[in-house]
Amino acid sequence: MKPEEPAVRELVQQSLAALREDLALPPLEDPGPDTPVLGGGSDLDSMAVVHLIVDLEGRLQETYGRNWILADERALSRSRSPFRTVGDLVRFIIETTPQS
Amino acid sequence: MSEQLPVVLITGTSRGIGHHLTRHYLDLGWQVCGCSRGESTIDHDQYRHFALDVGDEEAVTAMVRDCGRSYGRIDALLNNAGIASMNAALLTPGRTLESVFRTNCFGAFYFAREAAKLMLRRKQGRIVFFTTVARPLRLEGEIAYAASKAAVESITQVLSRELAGDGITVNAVGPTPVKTDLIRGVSDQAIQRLLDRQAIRRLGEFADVANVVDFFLSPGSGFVTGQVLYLGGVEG
Repeated sequence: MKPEEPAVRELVQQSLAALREDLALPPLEDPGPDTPVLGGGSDLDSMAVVHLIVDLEGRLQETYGRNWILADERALSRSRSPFRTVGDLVRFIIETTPQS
Repeated sequence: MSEQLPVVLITGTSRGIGHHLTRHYLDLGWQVCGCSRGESTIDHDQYRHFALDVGDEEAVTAMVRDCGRSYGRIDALLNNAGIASMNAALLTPGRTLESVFRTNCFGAFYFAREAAKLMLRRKQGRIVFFTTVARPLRLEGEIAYAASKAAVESITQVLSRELAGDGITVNAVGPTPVKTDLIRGVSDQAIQRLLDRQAIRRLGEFADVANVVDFFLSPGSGFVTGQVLYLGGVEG
């Protein structure tokens, strides 16, 4: 199955919701592509984002049967972090879909 | 597969310390996921083998996640796989350094990173790295090996702090020479010179190494992390 934008966004939002529940943070009122993940406007610290990425890799593997490594050099070398917003993250996940 | 049995992932299981540790934990009733470059040398109902190069990030990621899916947990990682290279520093090619770091340092890091991701979900786990007394002894003729293990010790200590809040301990054991293939090409005189620098001047036994690993893995060791424990009375 090929990852498509709406399904991947749903996975990201599920993962974000689960993380916020774990951290006892209030649920997001209106999650969407512009929802901040890391950095300005986000209430998640960098360790929380580590947990998010780990959880997301697991959800992506379960859904698509492929092993994403989201924190790869492509993620770290960009001027705009792919972890800045939900929309950025969704695009990055689709762009870095592993071949197998 | 029984879900009650604890699961340990051991790298470099085909021979030497990794092989003996695999036998040891199978005897203790653990399920063992192991790997080496070649096919399995262990035939046991509770042992599962992967043939891979530990320096191959994608292959390591696939193996660890496969184990996670199959067993639903990884309780411990023994990051044992390693290679040595004896050579004078001025005669050591860059490629030797790259190759030794790829296996000893990068490979160990890939396994730890991926295993820790699975351990994070259960908020518990034990990671044990393998270093060597060649590092604190600043052993001449082992520049690539000792330097790669120095990096492994740094990884152990940094990772221990990053994972401490998630119930995962990260420690390292530094064996003295043990009679394995790793020291096959080393002369008796060179080994004796090394032993003379230990407080306890004898070769290590596999049981000496297993004893330290047992300690790191024991439920009572949850307050022990970021430690590098050398055998034979060698100081860090």
